[in-house]
Amino acid sequence: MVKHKKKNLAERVNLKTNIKRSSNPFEVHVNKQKFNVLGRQLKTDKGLPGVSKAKALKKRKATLLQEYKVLNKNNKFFDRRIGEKNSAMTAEDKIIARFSAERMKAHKRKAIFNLADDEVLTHKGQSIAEIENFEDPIVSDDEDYNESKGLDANFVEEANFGGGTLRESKTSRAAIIDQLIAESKKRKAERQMAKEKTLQKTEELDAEWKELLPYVNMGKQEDLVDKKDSYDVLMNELKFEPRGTPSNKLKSEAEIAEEEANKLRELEEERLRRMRGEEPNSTQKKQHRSADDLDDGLDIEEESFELTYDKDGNPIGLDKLNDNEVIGKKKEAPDFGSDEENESDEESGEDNDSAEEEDDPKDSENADIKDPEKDEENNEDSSGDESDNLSDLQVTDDAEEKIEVDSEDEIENESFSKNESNKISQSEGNSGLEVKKKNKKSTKDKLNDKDNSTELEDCKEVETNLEDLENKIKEKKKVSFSKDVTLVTYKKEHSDSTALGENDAESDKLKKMQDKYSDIPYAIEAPGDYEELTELFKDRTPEQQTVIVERIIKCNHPSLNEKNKEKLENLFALLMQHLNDASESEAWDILNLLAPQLFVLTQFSPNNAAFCLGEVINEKHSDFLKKKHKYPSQETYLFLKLVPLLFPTSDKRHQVTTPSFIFLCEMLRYCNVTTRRTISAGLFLVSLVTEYIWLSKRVMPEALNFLSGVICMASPLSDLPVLSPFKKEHKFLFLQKSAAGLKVDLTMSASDFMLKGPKIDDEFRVRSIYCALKLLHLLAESYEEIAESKLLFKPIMNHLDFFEIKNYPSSVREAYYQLIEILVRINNKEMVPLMLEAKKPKALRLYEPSIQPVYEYQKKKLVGEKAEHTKLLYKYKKEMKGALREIRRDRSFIANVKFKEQAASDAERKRKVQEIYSWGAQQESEFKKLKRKKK
Amino acid sequence: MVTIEGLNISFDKPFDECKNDISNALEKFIKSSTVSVLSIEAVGDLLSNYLKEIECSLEKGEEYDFTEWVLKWHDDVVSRLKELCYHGNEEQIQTAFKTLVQLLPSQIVLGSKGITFPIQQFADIIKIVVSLEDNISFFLSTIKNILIFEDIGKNIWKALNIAICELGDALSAKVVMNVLQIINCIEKQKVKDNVDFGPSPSYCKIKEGVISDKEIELNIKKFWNKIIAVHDLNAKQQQMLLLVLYEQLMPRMTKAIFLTDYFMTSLNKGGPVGLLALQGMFTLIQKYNMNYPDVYKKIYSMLDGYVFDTQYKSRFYYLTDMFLSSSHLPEALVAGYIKKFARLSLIAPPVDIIIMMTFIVNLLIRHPGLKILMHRVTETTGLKEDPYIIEEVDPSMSHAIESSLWEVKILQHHVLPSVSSSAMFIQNPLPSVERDLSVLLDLRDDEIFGKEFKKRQKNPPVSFEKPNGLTLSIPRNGMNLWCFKNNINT
Repeated sequence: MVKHKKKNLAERVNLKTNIKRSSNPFEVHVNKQKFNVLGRQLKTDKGLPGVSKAKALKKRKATLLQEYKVLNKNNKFFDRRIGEKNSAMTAEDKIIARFSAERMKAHKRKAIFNLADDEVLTHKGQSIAEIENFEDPIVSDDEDYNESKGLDANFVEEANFGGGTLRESKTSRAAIIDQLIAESKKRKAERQMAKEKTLQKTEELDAEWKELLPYVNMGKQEDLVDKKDSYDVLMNELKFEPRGTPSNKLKSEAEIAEEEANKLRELEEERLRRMRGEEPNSTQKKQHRSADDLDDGLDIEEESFELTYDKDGNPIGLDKLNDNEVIGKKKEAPDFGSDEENESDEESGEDNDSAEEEDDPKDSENADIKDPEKDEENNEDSSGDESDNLSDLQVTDDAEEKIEVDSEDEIENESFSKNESNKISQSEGNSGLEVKKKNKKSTKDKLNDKDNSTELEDCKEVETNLEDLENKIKEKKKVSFSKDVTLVTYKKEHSDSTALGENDAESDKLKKMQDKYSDIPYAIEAPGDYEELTELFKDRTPEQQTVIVERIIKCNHPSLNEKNKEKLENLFALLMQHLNDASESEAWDILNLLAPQLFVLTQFSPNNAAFCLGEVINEKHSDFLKKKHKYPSQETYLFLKLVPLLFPTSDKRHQVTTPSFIFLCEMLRYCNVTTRRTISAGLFLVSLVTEYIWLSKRVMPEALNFLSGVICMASPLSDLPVLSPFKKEHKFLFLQKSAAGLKVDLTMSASDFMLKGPKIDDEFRVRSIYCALKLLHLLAESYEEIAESKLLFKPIMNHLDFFEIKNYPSSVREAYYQLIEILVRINNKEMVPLMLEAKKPKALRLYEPSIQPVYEYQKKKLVGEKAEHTKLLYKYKKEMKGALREIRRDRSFIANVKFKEQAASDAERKRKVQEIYSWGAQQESEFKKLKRKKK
Repeated sequence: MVTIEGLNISFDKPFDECKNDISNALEKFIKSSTVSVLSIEAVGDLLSNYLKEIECSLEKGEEYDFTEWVLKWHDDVVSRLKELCYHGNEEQIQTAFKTLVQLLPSQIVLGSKGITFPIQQFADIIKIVVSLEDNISFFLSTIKNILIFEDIGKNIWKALNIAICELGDALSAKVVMNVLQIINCIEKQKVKDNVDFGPSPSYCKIKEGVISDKEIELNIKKFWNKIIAVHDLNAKQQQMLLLVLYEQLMPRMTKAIFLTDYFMTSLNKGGPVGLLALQGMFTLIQKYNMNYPDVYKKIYSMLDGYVFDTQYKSRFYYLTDMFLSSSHLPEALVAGYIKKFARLSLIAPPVDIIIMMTFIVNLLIRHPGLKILMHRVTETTGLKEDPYIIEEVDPSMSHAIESSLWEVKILQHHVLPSVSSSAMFIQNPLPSVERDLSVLLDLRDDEIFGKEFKKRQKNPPVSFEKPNGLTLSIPRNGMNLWCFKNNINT
């Protein structure tokens, strides 16, 4: 009954879903949810248990039950009737389909035996018919078998004919066949590999060939050239002969000036950067070459450039280089050898003169007198000189220098006359210079023979010829140089002033100088130790010493020999020692004259110079520390004065200048100021400070303190507090009586701070006050740019208020009023309250909803294999659960079926038993009836 | 063989015979007006030898035959030695003093009152040192040598007291100096640690008579009153006094509060004396709960240019930092301090500038409200003058809070890179962590030089203008005021 009902229900449900009738609410099961999430769609929120159960049951009946029924049964029946299971076919359709299939079958069977009808049988891609016609196919077959397939005879024999009773095969037939298959597969794979290899090899060869192709072609061309006759060769030579390109033309003076101006501008920019304490940028760094860089003209970047010509013989790619002519020049140098040499010689000759002109006026005055040999020397290292002069450490000059040196070496080796004639033929017009050069050559040769005495005589002959020529050149150069200096203003002033000053005295001095220097040898070996140096300098005036040093530098120019650099480094250290030991009165003169030479040495090896000078400063400093309250002796000032000449004091941090600053600071702060010597030493140090900070405009409180102390010393009424080393009671600089009428030389002199100076007199008082006022003025000017610098000058202003100016001469008074003027100007500046620099406003946070795609497994956002693994694991778990559930249900289904079977069989048995009983009872009753009847 | 005053004494003979020789020799020693150094030493050795023998026999319980005889001579010799100490020449004094110290432990043996520390003898020795007029460094080293013994180290206080009392009421400055120097030799009182090194060695081998800590305090108080009654001390001596007071005496006192008056008067003197007194005041405020509301004004007034020169600069900076470490100070007061530091840094040496900058940064961090000193947003564009009044005594009234830290801005242009970088903070928002001041306090000028000197550049830049003699072709700098050429004829 129930069963029936259920069936009905399932059917009904099926009907319902088909018709989509609204479901019975009693059949719907709703899953209660704990939290309601808006917008979430759940599959499992409600279900129809009845329907799904019925579905499952039906499915099982179709599958599991059928399997169960055929359980333990070996034979199977397949229903292959066409369309039997297709419910869409009507009975008639089925019959038609079956009939047509029957007919088709019959038709097909006929075709099987029709061999040559439409298909062509082939063997190895060839039709069998063809093979039969032409060749004996068996031969190739055999070959194939042996070679390509490679199954050996034994194997084949065994495999194909080994089944007899005479031979017992060791393996089973199946195994043999497997082996056969494996073997043939292996062969096939091998063949495949070999083929691939050849292919690869071919490709490789192709590639290589392509690479080689240009060379091969070139070789061919060369061959062709070789085969050409001499006329063609000559023609080609002429064709490709280098000719003057625009890049090689002689630079005009304006151009040279501009170039130098540019270099200076670059260096100035770099200095400013260092002053601000910024890191030098990389490009700058690259361009910067130290003076000791013995550049051999190799530049890796430029290496790739090759000089090539197009059909017409015009160089390709040169126009690119025209802006940077230097490089082009360098590259072409080997090709243009002789020409270039000539030019560079000319150039360097001029440069040399100009350099001399600028460096040391005296030098250039006497250039002609000194003699050609000297000139030659100059010429030799003139390019180096020039580079030093401008501290231009770029590739250009070094390269030039190199070329020049090379060429000169060659010249030395080659025969003299030939060289000369070449030159004449190539140079245009500059015959004068040519002559000069000839002379040089001759002297050079002499020099090589180390015959100094004869050389002099020779030279004098030539001298006269050269004098006027050189003078001309020099004058020309002078004009050019005044042009060149337009960029750096103070430079201009300098050159002008020196030129003016020197011109007057020039002529008188000339002859004196000639006598003075005549006994100095021209080639001087660099001294190895200090004794040698003192030997050299013995009984020489400072001027002569300078000439000696100059000649040493020239004879030992680093470009001549690599070891020379070391020698010059050593020379620098020795000169430091020489300065240190110089007598008090001479020291300043020596420094004055030696400074340019030291500068040159510094350019050669900045590292060494910085190290030496640094060590000297350090030594002086440690000496000073031993007696902290005494001004050190004069050498210390000499070296401190030397520092700004050799190194930039404007750098934020510098190996030499920063310690010097500290040293200055300490001396100004600690040393007692009581005597004429100490006062003037302090003033000298403050002057040094003004020189140090001239460009950087940095602040040193000690200098201002010292000046205010000096002012306070001169104003007896002031009782303002003064910082150490000054004391309120010390009034050494107070003028007892008016000195307004006193005629005083207002420049301070170095003799003031020598050890045994006179005592303080009124003249000194006036002078030092003037100096202090001037220094204050300079400092005020420097610091005027600094905002709110009036705070710096406040203490000094107070001191100046107490200062009585009326006792002083008019020039001092003038200085005082100028100072007051600038201080008032500074003081009247408005003070702007400090404000931090406005920061870039931070962008407001955006509160828009961030829209992101939602993934099913948002949490498990793993990547790669792990993600795959977890995914699989999850799936597996899910499937496992489902499978278990299914199995469970299957079992219950089967159990149900079994139970029903059992029940059915039980019922059957019961029925049968009942039947038997009833039958028995019937018999019994019949029997009893009979019995009763018998009775 | 011993030689005393030309008389040879040989010990070959039995003691009875030597005795006469020795007696004669000692007699001569006491009588003679000129005694050689050698004989003083010999007498000392002789006596201490005998005394040791007596001691040994006492320990064994035997009666030594010559005790009486030795005792008689001992007293005479000691008094003679003292006399020598006062009136002899330098060598004699030194040797006699050494001998006295040598004989000090032997006094116990002969002490009539039993076995106690010979305090009177010790006081006499101290008195000799204290009343000396010239340099006492020799005596100090001798005293220092015996001060390592516990009994001496403790009894010296009592001995000092006795010696000072005996010298009378009016003490000279020299005496005070000597006393202070002796006190300075004494080991500083250690913080009591639990590690016991066992009984420390004693010089006189006797435990009795060694005074307790309480007695020490009493003695200190007594002679302290005497010392501060002396008025004619110079600044150096006052500094010494304050140092000793702070380092030696104060830790040994339980009620140091009574020193307040002295510290106050010293503080008002200013200068280095004031600095040292400040430290005492700080300890009093910190440990004894003293109330001194004007301390900030006081420190403020002590901040001037002289600070840089004083010996106790770092001590002062440390204390100032301690006083200003409270975050509950009024902002106007702290602003006054900040401005003062800033002004001072304009005239200060490099090291001090760095310290001042650190002070300023730390104070600005502690008081965020003072950020206005480095960042002020106002309508008015400029000021005529700095609103800060440096002459004002009270930091709170100096209008510093209306000012700005222009000084720091100026110092960014300082010649030394380390200094200028320390002033760079004004440009950026303040850091959250304060700078460490203690590292800077030990910094010295020459260290800065060394540091800069060690910094090597790979390629030191060189100047690119060829100098023409001494001038660097710059038209206007201080060098133009100088002439080097014609200076040969001085």
